[in-house]
Amino acid sequence: MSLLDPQSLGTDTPRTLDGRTYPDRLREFERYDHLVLPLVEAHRPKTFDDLAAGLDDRNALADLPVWLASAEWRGLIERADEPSRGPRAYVLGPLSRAGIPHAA
Amino acid sequence: MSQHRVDDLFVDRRGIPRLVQCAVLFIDLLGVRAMNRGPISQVRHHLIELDRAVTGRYRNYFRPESEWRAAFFSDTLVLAAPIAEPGGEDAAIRGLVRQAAWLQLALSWSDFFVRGGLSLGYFHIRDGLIFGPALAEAYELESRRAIYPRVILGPDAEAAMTRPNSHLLCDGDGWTFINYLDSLFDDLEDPVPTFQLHRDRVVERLGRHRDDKRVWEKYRWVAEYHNAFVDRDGLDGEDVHVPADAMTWRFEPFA
Repeated sequence: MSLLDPQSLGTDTPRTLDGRTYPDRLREFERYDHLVLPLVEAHRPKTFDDLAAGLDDRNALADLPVWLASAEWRGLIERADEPSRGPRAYVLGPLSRAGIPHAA
Repeated sequence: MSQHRVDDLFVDRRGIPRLVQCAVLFIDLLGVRAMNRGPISQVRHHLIELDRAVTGRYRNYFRPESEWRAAFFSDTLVLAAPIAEPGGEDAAIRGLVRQAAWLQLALSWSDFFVRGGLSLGYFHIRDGLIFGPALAEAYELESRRAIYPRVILGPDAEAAMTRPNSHLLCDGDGWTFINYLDSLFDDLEDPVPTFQLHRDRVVERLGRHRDDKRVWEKYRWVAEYHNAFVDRDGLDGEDVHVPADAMTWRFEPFA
């Protein structure tokens, strides 16, 4: 179940159901949306390393852990079901699935 | 960069090994020898937890085609970020600092604390062979300078980093170290339970090493770091501090 308040999706200030708000310091990493988001799929979970393998931009690669956090906060991606063994993986999140435009 | 291209960096056209400018992380898992001395069921538990931390939480640090080359031996893990183009030092070190922060968090959840060094310099890693001055420096940082369960940056690595960077903190003795708890504030999940788990791990270690002041002091440093971080960043009134009595050395009466 998503931790995000659905009413805050697509706004400038996403928040969780328990009232925590999108950390401002993650905003600078939104600049990688156009590089990383196309690598995430709706139904085929991708791990951090899957996504890293598709990136040539060295800065995007270095900042990928923080981009993942930023994109998760904004509903662009979400965690796939936890695998029994292996690292966490991501699929497109509610905002991406709905096709709602997001800030570049 | 593909696996092939990363591998190709470390050999010339004739297949002869070469040194490449890299950011190199060298970490030592503390207490691993003791973990191997208990009953086999306990050893197996430690093995499963270690495997989970290094392959099953944030990422698989040993994925063969990874951008970050890794080697593990005994209680030591080495991770390298090649600098593929001039001016790429900041990105390589920044990326490795984040990898190290994730790794420290994952290991601490699995009850492993680490000490380490991060260097910048020439390095070779291929087919299980690791070599080079950056490795020697990272080892020196880990074994002689870090002292406490922290991962410190060598002078060249520190100088190459853009400031400010919240993933780094400066310690009172002049060393810059990886502020691994900081990344918890990025996560969508509530950070409080993770801080509580980290606190509980530290308190357990402080209790376990009450009779060995040399080791106890190392975990006291972790407790100081934990509390300083909690004080600085605040957690909305949640008390996740390491309690003072756990951090206080005790003296016995002469009786």
